Amino acid sequence: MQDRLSDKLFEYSGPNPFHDSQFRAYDATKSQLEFYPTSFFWSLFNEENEILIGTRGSGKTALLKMLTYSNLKHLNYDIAKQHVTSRRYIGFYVPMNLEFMSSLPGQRVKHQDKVIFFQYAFNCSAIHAFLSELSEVLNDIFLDKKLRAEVEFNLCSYLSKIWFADREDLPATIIEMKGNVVQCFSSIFSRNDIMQATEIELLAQPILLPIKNALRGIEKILGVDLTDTHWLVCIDEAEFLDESCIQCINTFMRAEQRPLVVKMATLPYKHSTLATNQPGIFLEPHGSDFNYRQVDLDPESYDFVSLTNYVCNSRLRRCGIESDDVTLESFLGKEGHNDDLVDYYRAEMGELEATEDVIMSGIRGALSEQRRNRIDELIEEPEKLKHAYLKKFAPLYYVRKMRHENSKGNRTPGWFAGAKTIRRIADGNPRRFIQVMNAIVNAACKAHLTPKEQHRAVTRFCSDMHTAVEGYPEYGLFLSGLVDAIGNELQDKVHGQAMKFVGCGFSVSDDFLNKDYFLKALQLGIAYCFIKTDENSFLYSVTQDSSLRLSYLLGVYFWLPLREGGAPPRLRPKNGMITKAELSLGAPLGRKQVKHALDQLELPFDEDSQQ
Amino acid sequence: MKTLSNKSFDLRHITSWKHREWLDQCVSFDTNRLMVGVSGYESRSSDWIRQTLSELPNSERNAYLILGFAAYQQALSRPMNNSFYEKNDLPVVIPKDDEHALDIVKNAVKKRVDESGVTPVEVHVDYSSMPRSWYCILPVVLSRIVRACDKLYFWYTPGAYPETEYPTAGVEDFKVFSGKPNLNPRSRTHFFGLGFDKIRSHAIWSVLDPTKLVCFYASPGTRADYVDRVVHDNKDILSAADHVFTVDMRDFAYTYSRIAGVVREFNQLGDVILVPDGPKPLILASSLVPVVLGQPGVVCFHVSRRKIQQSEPVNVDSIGPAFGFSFSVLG
Repeated sequence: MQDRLSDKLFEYSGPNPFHDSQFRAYDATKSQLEFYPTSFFWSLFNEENEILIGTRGSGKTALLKMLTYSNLKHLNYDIAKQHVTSRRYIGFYVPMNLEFMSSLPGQRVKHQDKVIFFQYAFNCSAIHAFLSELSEVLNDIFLDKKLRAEVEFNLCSYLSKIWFADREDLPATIIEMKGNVVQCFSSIFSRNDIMQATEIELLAQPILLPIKNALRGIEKILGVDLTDTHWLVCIDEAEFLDESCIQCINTFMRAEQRPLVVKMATLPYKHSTLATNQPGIFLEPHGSDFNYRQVDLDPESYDFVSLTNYVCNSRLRRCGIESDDVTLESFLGKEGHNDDLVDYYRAEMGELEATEDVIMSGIRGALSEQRRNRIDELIEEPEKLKHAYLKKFAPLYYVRKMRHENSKGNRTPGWFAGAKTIRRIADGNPRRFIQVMNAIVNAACKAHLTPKEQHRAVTRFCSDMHTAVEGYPEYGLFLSGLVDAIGNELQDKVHGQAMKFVGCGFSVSDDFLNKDYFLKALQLGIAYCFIKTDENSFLYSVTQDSSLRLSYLLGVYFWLPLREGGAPPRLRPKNGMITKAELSLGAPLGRKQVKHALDQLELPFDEDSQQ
Repeated sequence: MKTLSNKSFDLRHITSWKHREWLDQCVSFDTNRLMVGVSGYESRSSDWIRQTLSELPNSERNAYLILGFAAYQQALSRPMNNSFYEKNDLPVVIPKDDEHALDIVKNAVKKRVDESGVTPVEVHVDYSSMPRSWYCILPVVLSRIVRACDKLYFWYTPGAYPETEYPTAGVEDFKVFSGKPNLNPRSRTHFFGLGFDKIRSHAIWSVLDPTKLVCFYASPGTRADYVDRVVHDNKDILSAADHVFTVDMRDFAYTYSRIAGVVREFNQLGDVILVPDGPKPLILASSLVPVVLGQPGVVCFHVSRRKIQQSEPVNVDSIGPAFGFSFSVLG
């Protein structure tokens, strides 16, 4: 093992720099310091309405917040400076958090009133955010304070006439104007009838219309050319919107409303309808009205590697590890030449055990008799043998041997360790990366971070995360049982009597997907990054053709090779049918019912079909 | 949804009580009383009434209202509790739902106040075995009925929980119980009250994505080892918190003012969202904070438990003397 920067943290007693994992906790300076603009981020500067679909912790909020003009202008990148100087894109951030949505009056009123409540509250929030960014734009255009004040006054007079026609005291500054918006918003809590709220006719218009109506006049007052400007409406946490609220936003996206462009972040499967407020009119994806975009990154992509290195570099500075070349690899140390699985295997088992011949012989011994015979047939063709068996089965064989070693008393192998494994456990999710790093840094403060110590910290972390699944909302109990059933089946295939060619992957049949609770549990698992799927299934829906896998975090928990595997086994009902008792079950399910439903699953593995 | 608010609600003049102290002093109070208790499957659900009945002189001045739950009528200590109330001629009224339960209590209190004339009335609520949909709302709704000369008491008997892993209740639905948020607040701080159900706490954490996190828990708690267990089980969440504080749940006046104090401090930075869990006095105190402060930017969530079929009831025995608090409404 080469030198590890983590050794510098041994006996460190200060705060763990990874203890906070939320982008929203950052102040303006910190967010710019810690934000790593991926290629996905830059691709969001376009003129299309886009719905950003990402798992919890995938960085949706960070992306949307950094799209705002006030944050973008602090980013030290040429593209950012270009966008700011040309004012081609001016973003403003509109959060739809849970307390905002669930405190709105009118949760139990008829549909039409609910729409009015939402439009009113949304417009208040959007205008408030729009004014904040407009103030920043003013600061940048008018450096002369007197002139700025004059323009601001004119702007406020103009906007007041549009938005607050009923008020006698006209605001002279944007701050005062924002105060007016807050007052309007508060008025919906004190009125029994939404129609009595302040400025109801103007603010309860379809969403963003008050802003759209104001844009042309703003351009004139500012005296600048905003013809090419696109105002990015960054709507965050849209997973808390119900269908009637989503329809309001869909209606906006359906109508040609440029230069206002929506960038809306939500969890997978939470953009639950394409309907608009006009009967029979639906939103069209694939660029016509909007596009879905997947936020989650591939754990091995350049973007994720760069992001994780950047986070390590900036966070470790907080505890005195300051150097420009801090990476995850330099922090954890590398094993062998390539920091590959075989290097960790060699470190545990010795040079001889890690030779190709010994490994091949071990693989042969672990396989079924049928496969052993096939190996014996290829004995004269070493290249074929290497390709068909060694490369394919070595990761399975390593993890099989390591688990066996782990089962020996007082023996902890340094297996789930190293930068590649940590990034895989994070599964392209920045927050999960920060959380696992939190566990690793805690371990580094108590002991030198050898692969064994990394393994201990990582497996403990994965076990805690696995335990937490059960408590998740709605279908958490079923999801917990489901991942356990799948994990145990896969574990049996890796560690059972005859090793089978599997990884963390699996697929499901329509028999199950037709069951609402099964589909919802799968979707919950995907939303919280416990189950991964292909891009199309992630953005649209899970079908029997979807490729699915347990997250690598669960792969660690069940001692699986951290890869999808070959042709994944398909989950199917035992004996080919689901029993009548199971069919009558309704959600939410109790423990006994979950057990009953899951007892009927099996992950059959057809030996011949996998080759 | 109507926002819970009550302008006459004044928790600055709140008094913490030990049941023993009150029993020793109450004979000298010239008041009429209404005691509200419940019959449930927990053995502690009748403890407060049991002790009060045995020590208060039998008098027309003391009236009783016992509510029973429709579910689990044969489970654990429920038959024993029912039979105790029956022996003492206290009928167990079974409400149809939460709203009906609150109506029954409100009507009983109103009747007691009306029939008392100028005599002050004490209303005592033993909330040890009540669901939070009853006990969190009762201080607010009852304070709209009673007069300035009357007093509301809320009592809690601490319980012993099973040593083994407590089955998680999970999370189901997040509802704003009290308070209202600001529009686009500068920052948001979530206050998590912690208890034994670490899986539930973790789920709440994952769903709410706290911006800044403040945690609090009961210490001293019901037992010293309970405090250790809460700290141990929630170590991940505690280590992620920006600030942690503890409250002495036996002293409700202190608990309330401590939570309200820290809430005010963080409210200067932006919105505060309380998400209480753990022992009932902490949940009650947290739920009342937005009601009493009455300013935008302080919100209390109630996270409902997963309503699953075939869940097993868990017995809770009392583990020490009851404690509570009293307050009056402003004139």
